[in-house]
Amino acid sequence: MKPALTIRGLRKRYGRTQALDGLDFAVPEGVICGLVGPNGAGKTTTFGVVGGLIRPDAGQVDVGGRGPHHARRDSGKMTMLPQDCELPPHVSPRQLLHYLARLQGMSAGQATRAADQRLEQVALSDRASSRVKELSHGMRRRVAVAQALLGDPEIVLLDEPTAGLDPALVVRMRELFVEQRGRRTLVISSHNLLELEATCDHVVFIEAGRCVRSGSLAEVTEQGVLMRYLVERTVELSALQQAEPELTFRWDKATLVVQAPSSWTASRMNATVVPQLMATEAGLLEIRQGRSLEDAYLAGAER
Amino acid sequence: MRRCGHGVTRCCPWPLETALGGGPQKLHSDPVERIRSIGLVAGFDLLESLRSRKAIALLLLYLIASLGGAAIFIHVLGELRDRIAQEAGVMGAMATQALLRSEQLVELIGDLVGDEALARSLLSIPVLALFYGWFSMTFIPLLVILTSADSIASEIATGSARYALFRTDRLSWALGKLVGQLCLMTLGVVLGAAGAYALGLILYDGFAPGQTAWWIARLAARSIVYGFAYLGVALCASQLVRTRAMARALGLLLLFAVWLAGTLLRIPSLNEWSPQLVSAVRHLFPNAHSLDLWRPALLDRGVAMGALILIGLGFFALGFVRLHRRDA
Repeated sequence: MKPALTIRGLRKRYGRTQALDGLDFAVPEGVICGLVGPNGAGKTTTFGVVGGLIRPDAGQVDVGGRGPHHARRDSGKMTMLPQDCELPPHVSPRQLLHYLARLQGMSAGQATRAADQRLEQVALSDRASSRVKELSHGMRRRVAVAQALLGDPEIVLLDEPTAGLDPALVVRMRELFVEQRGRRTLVISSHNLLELEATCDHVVFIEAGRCVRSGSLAEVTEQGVLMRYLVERTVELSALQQAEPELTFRWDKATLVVQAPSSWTASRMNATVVPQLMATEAGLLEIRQGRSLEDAYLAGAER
Repeated sequence: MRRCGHGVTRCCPWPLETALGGGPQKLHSDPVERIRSIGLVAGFDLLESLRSRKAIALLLLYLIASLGGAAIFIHVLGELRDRIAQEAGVMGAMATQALLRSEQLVELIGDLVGDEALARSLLSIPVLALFYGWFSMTFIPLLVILTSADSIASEIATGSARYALFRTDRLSWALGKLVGQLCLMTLGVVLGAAGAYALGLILYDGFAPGQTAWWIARLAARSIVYGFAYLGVALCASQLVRTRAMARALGLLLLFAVWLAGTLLRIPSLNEWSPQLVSAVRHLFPNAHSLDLWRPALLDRGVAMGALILIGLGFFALGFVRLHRRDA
C-alpha cells in the first residue's frame, strides 16, 4: 500500500521549545490513522506543517506523492480541521461552506450542493442560515468538521474533531469518519483513545516531537498474540501454565491476559485457553483480542 | 514497524526516497485561477465586513460626519454669500454669482486644497463638490485605518484564516483581503458622496444637480485612489502583527508616521539641504501627492494617482513579506 502522507525528519522550534524533533512517520493510503500523544507532543504542530500553515525548520513532507502541500495547486485534495480555530462569526454556516467549497475549485452549483450535503451529515441543516456567532460551541465544531469533509479530499486531517460534542454526536461523527474508510485517508488527533480504537485502523504515537511507535492497530495492540479473558473469579495460574507451556499467563485484575508466540493465532489461543477456563470455576464473561489502545499507549509511555 | 538508525523507533514501512519524490515542487501559477481565488476571498471578506457591527458603525459615523461637514459648509457658504450680497448690494442669483467671483471664496477653497493659486483654477467646480473632495481626502485615511488595519491580523489571531489558507495560497488570500477592504472603503466614499449630494440638494440654494453629481463622482474616484495608498498602510500593519489590538495600534502609528514624514519633508530648510533626495523621499508618502489630485491637468492627476496606487501596493507588499514567511 503506498503512503498517503510521509513525514521525514521534521523539526520545528518555538523559542526554547522544540515542538518537533526529527519526526518521521508514514500513513498508508485509505486508512483512518490516529495520532496519539500527550499535550505538547507536537500533534497540532504536525498538522500545521502538513497543511502548509506552519513552516518547519527542517524536514520533508510528502502528501500523496506530490511533495509538500501547496494550497492553491492542491486545493481540495487535502482538507483539515484545525484545533481551536474560530469560524468567521458574521456569516452563516451555509455561506461559509459555500465559500470554502468554491475556494477548492467547485462551481457555485456544486458548492451549494456540497455545503447542504455536509450540513445535513453533521445535523445542522436547520441552522444552515443562522450566523455562526449564534451557534453553540458544539454546533460550531460540527460546522468545522463539515468544512473538513467538503468535496472529495484524498486526505483529511482532523485535530480533536469530537472535542466539545455530546455523546450522541460523538457517535454520529465516528460513524461519519468510519464511512470514509477506503475512500480517503483520515488522520485524527485525539486524546480519547477509546474513540480512536473504535475508529482507526492505524496509529502513530508521538512524544516530545518524535514518533515513538506506529503501525496498524492490530500490530500496536498485539491482536495476533495477545488475548484477554474477563472472568468472574481469578484462579491459580500454575495449572494453566503447566497445560500449555508455550503461552504466558498473567492476571490484570479480573482479566486473564494470555500472551502467545507470533506463530499462534487468536482462534488457536481460544481453542487452548477457553476449555481450560471452563473446566475451572473462573466463570468466563468476555473475550477480547489484543490489549486496549490505552494499554498499548501507556505501556509505550512507561518504556 | 522497524527500527531506523536515528535512535528512535521509525515507523515508515515504505522506502522514503520513493515517497518523497524528487526535487522542489513547481509552483502553480495559473493567473485565471489566482484571480478567481482573489475574487472569492474579496467577496467573502466584504460580506463578512458588512455583517460586522464595527464596519457598519464606522461607515455610519463617516456618513454622519460627511453630512455634518456638508451642512456646516453650506451654512458657511450661505453666510458668506449674504455678506457679499450685502456689501455689493445684490440679491438672489446675482448674490450667488458674486460669491463665485469673490476673493473670500478663493481663500476658502485655497484653505481646503492647500494652495491658493490652484484654488483659482478650481472655481469652475461646484463648491459643494470641492468640499466633498476635501472632506473625503482628509478623513478617508482615518476611516481606512480604523476599518481595515485589523482585517488580516484578527483572522490570524482567531485562526479563522486557516480555513482558507490551506485552500488557497497566501498571496491570493492577502490580495483578496486587499480587494475586499477596497470595496468596503469605496462603499464608505460612495455613502459620503451620496449624503453630501442629498444634503446639498435640500439645503444649498445655488445647487447645480448635474454638474455637482459629475464632480462629486470624479472627486470620489480620486478619494478612492488616495485612500488606496492608506489601505496599503493599513494592511501592512495588519500583516506585520498577530493580534487585533496590535494591528489597530500599529495602523494608527503608521498613519501618523506617514503623515508626519510627508509633512516634515515639506519643510523648506530640509529641501535646501538636498532638494532631489528630499523630493524623492517625500514622494514615497501619500500626502506628497494629494495636491496633484486637484490639478486640472490630466497628466498631473494621472501621475499622482499612479504613484498613490504604487505606494499602496508597496506598503501592502512590505507587510506581505512578513505574512509570507510567518506561521499562520
